Amino acid sequence: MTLGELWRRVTLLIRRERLREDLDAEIQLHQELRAEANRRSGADARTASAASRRAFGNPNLIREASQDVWGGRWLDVLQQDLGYAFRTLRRSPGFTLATILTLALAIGSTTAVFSVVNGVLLRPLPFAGQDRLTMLAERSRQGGLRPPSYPTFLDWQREARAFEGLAYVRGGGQRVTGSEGVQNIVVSVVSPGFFSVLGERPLLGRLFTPDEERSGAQVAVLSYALWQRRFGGDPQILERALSLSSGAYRVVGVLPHDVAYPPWTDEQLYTPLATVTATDHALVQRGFHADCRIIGRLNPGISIEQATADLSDVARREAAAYPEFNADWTSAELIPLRDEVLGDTKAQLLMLLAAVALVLLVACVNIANLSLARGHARVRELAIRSALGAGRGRVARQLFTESALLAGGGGLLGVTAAWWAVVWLRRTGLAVVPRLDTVAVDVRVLAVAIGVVGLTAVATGLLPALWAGRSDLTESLKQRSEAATSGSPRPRLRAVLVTSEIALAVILVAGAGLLVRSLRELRAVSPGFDSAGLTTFYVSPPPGREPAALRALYFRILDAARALPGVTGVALTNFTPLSGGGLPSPVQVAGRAPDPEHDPQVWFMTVSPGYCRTMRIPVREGRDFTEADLAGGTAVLVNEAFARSYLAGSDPIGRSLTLHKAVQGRDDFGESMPATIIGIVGDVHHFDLASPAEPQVYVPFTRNVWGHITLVVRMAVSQPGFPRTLTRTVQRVDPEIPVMLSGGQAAAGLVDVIGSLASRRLDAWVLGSFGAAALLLAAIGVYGLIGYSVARRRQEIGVRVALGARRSDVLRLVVGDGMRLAVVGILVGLLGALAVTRLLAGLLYGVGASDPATFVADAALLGLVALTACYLPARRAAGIDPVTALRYE
Amino acid sequence: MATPPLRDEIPPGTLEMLILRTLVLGEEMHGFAIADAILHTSAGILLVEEGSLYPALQRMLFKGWIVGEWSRTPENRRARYYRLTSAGRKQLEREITRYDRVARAISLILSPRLA
Repeated sequence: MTLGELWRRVTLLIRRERLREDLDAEIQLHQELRAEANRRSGADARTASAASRRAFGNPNLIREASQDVWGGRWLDVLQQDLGYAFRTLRRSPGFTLATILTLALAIGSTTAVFSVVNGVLLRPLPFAGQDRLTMLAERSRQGGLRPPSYPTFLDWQREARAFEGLAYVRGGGQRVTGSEGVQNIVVSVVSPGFFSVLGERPLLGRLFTPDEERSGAQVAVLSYALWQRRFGGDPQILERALSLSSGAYRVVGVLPHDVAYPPWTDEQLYTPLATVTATDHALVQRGFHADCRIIGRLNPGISIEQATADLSDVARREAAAYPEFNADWTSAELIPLRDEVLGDTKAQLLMLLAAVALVLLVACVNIANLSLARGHARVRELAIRSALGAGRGRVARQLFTESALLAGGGGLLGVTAAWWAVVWLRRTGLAVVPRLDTVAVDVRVLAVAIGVVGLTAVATGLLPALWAGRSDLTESLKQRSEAATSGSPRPRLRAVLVTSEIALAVILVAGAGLLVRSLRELRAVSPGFDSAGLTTFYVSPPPGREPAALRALYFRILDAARALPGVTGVALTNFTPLSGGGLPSPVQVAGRAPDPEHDPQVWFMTVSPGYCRTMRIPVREGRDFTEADLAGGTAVLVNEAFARSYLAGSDPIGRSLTLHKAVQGRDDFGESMPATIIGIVGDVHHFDLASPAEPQVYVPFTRNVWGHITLVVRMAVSQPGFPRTLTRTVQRVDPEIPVMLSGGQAAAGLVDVIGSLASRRLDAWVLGSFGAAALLLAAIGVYGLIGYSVARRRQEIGVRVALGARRSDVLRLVVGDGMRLAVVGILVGLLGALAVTRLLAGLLYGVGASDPATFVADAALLGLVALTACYLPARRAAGIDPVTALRYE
Repeated sequence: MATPPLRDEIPPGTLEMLILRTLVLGEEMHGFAIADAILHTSAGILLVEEGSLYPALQRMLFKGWIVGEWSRTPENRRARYYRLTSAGRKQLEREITRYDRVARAISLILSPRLA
């Protein structure tokens, strides 16, 4: 077929009507001309036109033959089928609407959830050979994990046998000064071979040369996200000079994909570690473990277990060689890079997938049910069509067109809904699920959606089609519609379908109920401080400032904030609760032998004297800090969790502790600090409301001045514009303090207690809506079944009423039928829920996986819904007038 | 009693060739004129069931051998006039060559003494 012919054939599909008219006109003209010619040769008018018709042949056959030339007769048949399907569906709007909505619900939720699972879980990390990539950590006897120090890393690199390569990377905030002002970005310094371990190739430019990696150079590689967001994807970025805090760097390359490693942020700038080895003290300290990662690429054929054993040997030798730093860290742990990047969202996403599969199942059951019911009603129609000569294939195709139309409508609606749902999820869940910003309704997702639509079309179309094929023509025509179903096994099948629908709904509602209860329990947990009216500002001055200068800066910021109108309290802390930050540090208690197996980690907090008052953390015993404690002395506060773990059974006030300076990378890191407990304060959930409060020790901020600090301000009445006011105030004190952090986050913010529950709230919401959907579908199913059986038994009920049955008898009869199914469904569902909710255990808080109250409420809810769904048709049945009912047939 | 002129069905597959040939001779023609022309130039021997012209014309339109344009007949009726394209000319040559070959082969079989 030539190109021109193809084009003519395609345009034909659009211009069919025109072509048909043209052909008709030609044929008519031909016959007229022939008739005239015949007349001219002497025939009378009637014979002339008859002869012309004879000479021409059968115009209808000619027309069809011509149209066969065009091809696409199927289009006409399709048009016919579609037109007929439209009319049929319009005649039963209830069925159509119920089916399309059911489908939309099912396809929409499947598509939305699958797009998330696809984007987050199924799509592999973009690193070549990612199965062999692992993150390496030291493991302590107590089970703690930490990244090795740089000197330890060098030993590992030299001695480990199981790896093709190991690499070290350390991140830190730096400022870029550019035309847009000062911006904070994350700079990761990488050891030689970092990119080759990851299997990275540049998108633009090049990566570091071996020479640059070995001897250092002022060159930089940008992550894709950094290039896109900070530099607008500028193609001229190569060779541009960037003015960083640590000097001017030349951009030599850009990485190709949206995921950057280490996963602290997608916007990173990489420089060779060798460039800073001379000036970075942290790189020679065996006690330095912060903000770094060791990654390794396993040798082919080596399992994680083998590599762990290999590396643990090295770790044991290190522990023996450097007991001062590594005594407890006697083994190694390997975490697949994939697990590190994706975190524990796997369980959550799989739960979503399971839930969505259940909803899909319920929806399919429901549609099958509706189609079966409708198939019954159409027995006679289909029989008449067969009698009029429609082949079995033709009837099946007609039915299939109908269900395809329904599935298409539902699918379209569903995919649209899914698109909105994904937009919504990206807005609300971004902080909760990694890589969510890359989730979209993409080709793969659409393919799945189309597959689901197709399957439902086949499933729902095939049932009645098969059934129509089976039905006996004469029998169907002979029987009256009411009798056509008696004795057939179909009502039983429908009952089983409805029962399983109820059971599935019970399972989903149980899961949702447990999550909602967990959320309520968690909301009732007091975080240990009062977040209402608090505003924070993350103060991160340029690196390299001396502690004395920082200290003076922090005092100036405190004073400036205190002077703002409406402020009732100001304080400083190195880490605000629920911000995710914290630093554990060893503590020795005078007169108490350490128990390395059981002693929990102690979190090192530096604060200003107003901290407890501002945060409203209660002082349980002793006293709070005063301004005098800033000047000198050994005063520290501990929390109740610390007192429980370390000071049980003795009076804590006045006890002596030994702390260690904890600002990493400074020369005095690890230096011991004598301390005396002056008071005990209430516990604070520092990381997570769901886990118990950790032991903390609070030190006046002046004793170990942190390189960055958070200002906490309490207002009597919170004002919406206050974060901006606070930002301006800090900027007036020191314009070099950035107001935007990496990732585009503002330095000023709120302590978000509820926000820390966002992930759980999302879970509860999603599972809750699935539960509601299943409930709705089950209700539709029950209502449909009972309503249909009432319509079918109209005459029987009429007879009963005529024989003296009362309204209440009829009600009981119909409701009883439905509720028998419901009770079976609920019981089966509860058993199923018992088995399934155990999988949720990790996501629950404060309730057991088989919480009796939740299960009872679940059963009651389903019972109520089923009762309502039965009652409506039952009331209709009770209102049946025997006279009309009996005359009806 | 005069015997009616003997009329033969067109051999299958040759209709298109005949149409092409007719159009080469007669510039633009409408369907009726083409049918008439085939009847007359074959001295009334070839009978086209006139309607069968139209599926053939449709097929040829698609192949791009002819183009059709609506205009007016001398009696001011709307009619579609067909015209040969260069592709149609080439096709005609191909068909004639093929026909000659087949015809020669057939006559060889029928009159072996000529060989």
